Amino acid sequence: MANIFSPPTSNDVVKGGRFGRNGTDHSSAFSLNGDYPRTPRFQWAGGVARFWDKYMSLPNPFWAKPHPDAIDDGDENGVYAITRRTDYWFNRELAQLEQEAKLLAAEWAEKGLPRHDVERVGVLEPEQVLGMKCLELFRQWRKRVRTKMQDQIQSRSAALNRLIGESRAESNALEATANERKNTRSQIEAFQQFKESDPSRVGYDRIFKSSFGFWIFAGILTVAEFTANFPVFRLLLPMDSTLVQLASTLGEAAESHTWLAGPLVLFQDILLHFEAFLVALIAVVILVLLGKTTGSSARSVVAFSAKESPMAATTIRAHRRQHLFVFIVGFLGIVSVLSFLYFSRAQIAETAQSRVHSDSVSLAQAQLDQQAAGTDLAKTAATTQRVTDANRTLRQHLDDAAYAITVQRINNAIVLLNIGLVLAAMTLGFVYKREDLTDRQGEHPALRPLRARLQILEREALGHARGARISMSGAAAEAGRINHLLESHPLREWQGKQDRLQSVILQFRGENARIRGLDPANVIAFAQPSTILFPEVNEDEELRRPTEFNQLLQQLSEVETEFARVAAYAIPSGTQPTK
Amino acid sequence: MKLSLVFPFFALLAVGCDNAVGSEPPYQGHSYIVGIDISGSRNRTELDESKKLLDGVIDHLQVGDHLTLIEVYQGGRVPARQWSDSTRTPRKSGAPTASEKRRLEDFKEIARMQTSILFDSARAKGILSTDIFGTLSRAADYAKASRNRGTTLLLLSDMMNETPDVMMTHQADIPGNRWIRELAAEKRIPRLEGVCVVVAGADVTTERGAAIRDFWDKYFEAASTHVSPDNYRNMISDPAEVACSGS
Repeated sequence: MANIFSPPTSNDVVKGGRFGRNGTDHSSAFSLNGDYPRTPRFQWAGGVARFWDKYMSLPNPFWAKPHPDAIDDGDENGVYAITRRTDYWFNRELAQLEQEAKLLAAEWAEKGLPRHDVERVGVLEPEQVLGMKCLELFRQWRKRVRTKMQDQIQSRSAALNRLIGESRAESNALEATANERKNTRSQIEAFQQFKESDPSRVGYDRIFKSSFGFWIFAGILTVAEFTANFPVFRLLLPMDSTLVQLASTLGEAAESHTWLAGPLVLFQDILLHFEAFLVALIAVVILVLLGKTTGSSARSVVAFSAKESPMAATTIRAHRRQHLFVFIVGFLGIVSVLSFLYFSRAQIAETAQSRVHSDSVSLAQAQLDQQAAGTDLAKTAATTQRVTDANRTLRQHLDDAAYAITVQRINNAIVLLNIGLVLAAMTLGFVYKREDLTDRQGEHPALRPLRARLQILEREALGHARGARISMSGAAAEAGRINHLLESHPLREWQGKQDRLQSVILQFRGENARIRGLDPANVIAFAQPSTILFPEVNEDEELRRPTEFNQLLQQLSEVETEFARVAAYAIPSGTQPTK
Repeated sequence: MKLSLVFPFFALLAVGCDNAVGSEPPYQGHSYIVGIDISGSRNRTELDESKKLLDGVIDHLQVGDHLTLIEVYQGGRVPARQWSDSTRTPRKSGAPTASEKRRLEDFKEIARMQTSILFDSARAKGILSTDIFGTLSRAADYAKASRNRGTTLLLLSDMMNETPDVMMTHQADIPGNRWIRELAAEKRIPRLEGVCVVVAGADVTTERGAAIRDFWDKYFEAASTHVSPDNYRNMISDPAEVACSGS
């Protein structure tokens, strides 16, 4: 009769034992495949154990030295990383077996079994059960180690295959970009050699050709703007009282010039209001200048097109850019000046009225002083002069106030006139503009996008080269790992595992005797040998080499060779990568 | 281009400024010294005529003229009122600037105002004495200050001196030549050389009036001037006549 203490055949280990769980002992948490359902008794304990292994075994940051486990766990790609979980599983299962041995020992001890004075024929039942479980656990351990290693080797092989594929794809892409760059360079050279079939002049002439006429119109516009806006400044800027009197006197004197009185009065008025004259003149000149400049710039902006004259495209773009800036600034300047004029005219009536009010007060005070002077000849002379002056100023300002009200009333119309004059100045600038960009520095318009495309392709080539190198490097690393796993011999620890399983029977016997208060040596039933006969293990047994591994290595070599060939001419940088 | 336009402008401006400083000596103006007598010996009509004449003279003032209004001395302790002013000397003779014209008009306005004060009829009722000699002395002082200006002394008075020393209310009281010589000897007669004297408001129809005119003829001669018969009148309707022939 075969038992666990008799030597098994080697096939028992591989095929699984004929000893298995009989289903009667529910307290046992033993599982053949490791996926057994946990009993409530040990479920929480297993959870705590997993929790401890997962979280509490992390290196303590306050330790002066790193946790030893952390050092061991560092290599996630080595054999240890693969067998670590299996070792943990083995230890856990062994602990449960030992626990079960103690329980069986206690149960048998309560019943006084085995009798210490009676010799047993055959193996003690609990020891047989425990022995079979130990045997099964060893078989499972061996199977798990081999399976895990084979799975890992296969996984690495798949990764190697994938990386070779990626390397090949990157290398092909690199070659494709190289070809495309070559074509693009050819196109660029062709366009650089391109000459316009009809090198016509790039520019335009004046629409309005007469310089004399231009200055005449410019002068008319300036005078018109000045005449329209000067009164506003005259009213806005207060005039010295002496000048006010002088202006009044001059106005009266101009009456003798009959039909020239109008221009004379205006001219005298302009000269007497010199501050207003200066400000108005500067504002008007600036307005006309802005209008003319804006019109000229507008023509430069609309007249040229890079598409129509591709060989002058660069010059045209620069030219248009500058004139666009001038146009915008000029336009904003015109808007600012016209807005200033508009808002100034909108409030001159109030300004003029306030002056009238102030003059009225001054006149009333002068009249009071004159009355107070009585018959005092000296005082009367002074006060009379003051009354005369105040009267004259008041009259002047009353006229101004009436004029201001009129101006304010037609403010919108005046601003339309201003806009019209500015538009006229712009038109004048537009029609008088002349430009010649024949001295061009341009190139074919297709060159710019081609250069941009070439640059993009070079960047892509660098990216492909980098990707190919990374993939090949990863593939080589995977191949090395596979070789390492194949030569790792993970079953070399089988003797230690068997030794630990041998202790289960001894633990049963010791615990039974201890409970019963006996020495195990005094129990005759325990005199039988307790050694479990495990099958022999060939620790040098090699793992199965993937069938495609050699082919993959060949492909990797080919890819590296291909990459070296392509990289020799396809990588834009001067430094060519090696294999 | 800019310089070529700007330079002629400043050149023109410089020429214009240069013309303003002419080499011709400026017009110095004329000095009018007016003695105003509103004493009770003159009736309302005479006062109105005098005022009208003075207003006319004022209207005929030119730029640079000097006007002095003197209330005829009343004698006693009450001082005579007087006002003297002038317009600025013109920068260019015969072509007053607008500013000068405006100042002249202001000056005339003030002068008219002063005239209306001096011809105050209410004040006339309180004046009982007339010191023409004192007025002539003060006029001589003003005339001396006129320097190179032509000076016209216009006396709007009946020329009847009524002071305790000399009362001309009666023909017999009018001093004779001897009195004038004594004053001249004592150098108590004011010097009026070069002064054109014009009298408006004097009585020229009565014997007393003729006697008074003879006295003043002699007196003015002693004062180194001369009053022609045409300038010693009761009434002058045209202010342009307030002048001496040949002046």
